[in-house]
Amino acid sequence: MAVDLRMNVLIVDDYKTMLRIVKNLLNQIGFTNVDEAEDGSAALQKVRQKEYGLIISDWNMQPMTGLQFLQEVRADAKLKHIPFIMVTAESKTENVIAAKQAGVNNYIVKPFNAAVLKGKIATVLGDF
Amino acid sequence: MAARKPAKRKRPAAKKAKAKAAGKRPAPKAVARAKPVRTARPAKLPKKPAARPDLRGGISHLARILAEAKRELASIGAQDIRARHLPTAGDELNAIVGATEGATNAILDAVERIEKTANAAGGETGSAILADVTSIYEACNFQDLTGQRIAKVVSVLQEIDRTVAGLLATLGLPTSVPAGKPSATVDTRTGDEALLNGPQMPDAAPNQADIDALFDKA
Repeated sequence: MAVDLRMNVLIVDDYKTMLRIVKNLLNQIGFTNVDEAEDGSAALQKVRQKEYGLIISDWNMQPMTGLQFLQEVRADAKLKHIPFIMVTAESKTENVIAAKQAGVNNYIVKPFNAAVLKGKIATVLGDF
Repeated sequence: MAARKPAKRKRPAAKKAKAKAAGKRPAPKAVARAKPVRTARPAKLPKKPAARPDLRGGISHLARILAEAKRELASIGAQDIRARHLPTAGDELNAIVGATEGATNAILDAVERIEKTANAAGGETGSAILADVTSIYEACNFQDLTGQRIAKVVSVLQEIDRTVAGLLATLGLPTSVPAGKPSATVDTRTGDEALLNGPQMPDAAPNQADIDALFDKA
């Protein structure tokens, strides 16, 4: 089944410039309904109010980190199915393992390029 | 000459038998003296070892080092490190984050306009421009990464501040500059060197109009 590019995508990062960059890259891919949040707790409120087909989140944020947000999403029966990609500068082995164990679908390390972003989304959602 | 063997001690029974044979009354047995009742002796305390000369010398040496450290800390204006230098370093780092964020937003504004124009133009030219637009978006990752690295440095400065405060407190020195006291660190630069100060903080920096007015007055 082809990926529905009209799906709602939530991007989460505490750097506004990074939100802008990711949003523009998603627009280039074809995703037009992109919402933003600046930390895990704001993102959690959004996912509880609206249906999202994909979450792309940073890790290092306050007051709720990306990992904590992921754990909340996976712990919620209504949200646990949402594909979740971590996009972060955290690159140690233990980070990747922790994210995987928490249920992340894929992991992108910053700095990243458009091809990697598109490739990981295709891996998680299917080709488009 | 052969060594003399020690004399054999005669056994008491043998002595008695000999005395009996000699018709002598054996000497009365010495009445064993009742052992005096003794209370439990207190445990012997170990003798205090005499302080070795090298240990005393070592302690004196340490005391001299500590006193010297205290004098040096007082003279280098460690309070100034906390009151001026560390906050200045922190302010400069935060200014870097602010400046890079501002510049990145300006770049993204321009690139988004270019992207719209390229999309509208279409064709090979439009595609070529869009490829470069994507490269610029990717390069702008730098602002996030520099911001995170700077946050780590700020954290280190805060730790240094805590350590210096702890050291001053331990040595009984004031942890802050007393009100009204001039700075212990004096700018000793002269000539051209004294004119090299770099950008001022954003809230204190004059704009071009201010500089023009100053220039016209000078």
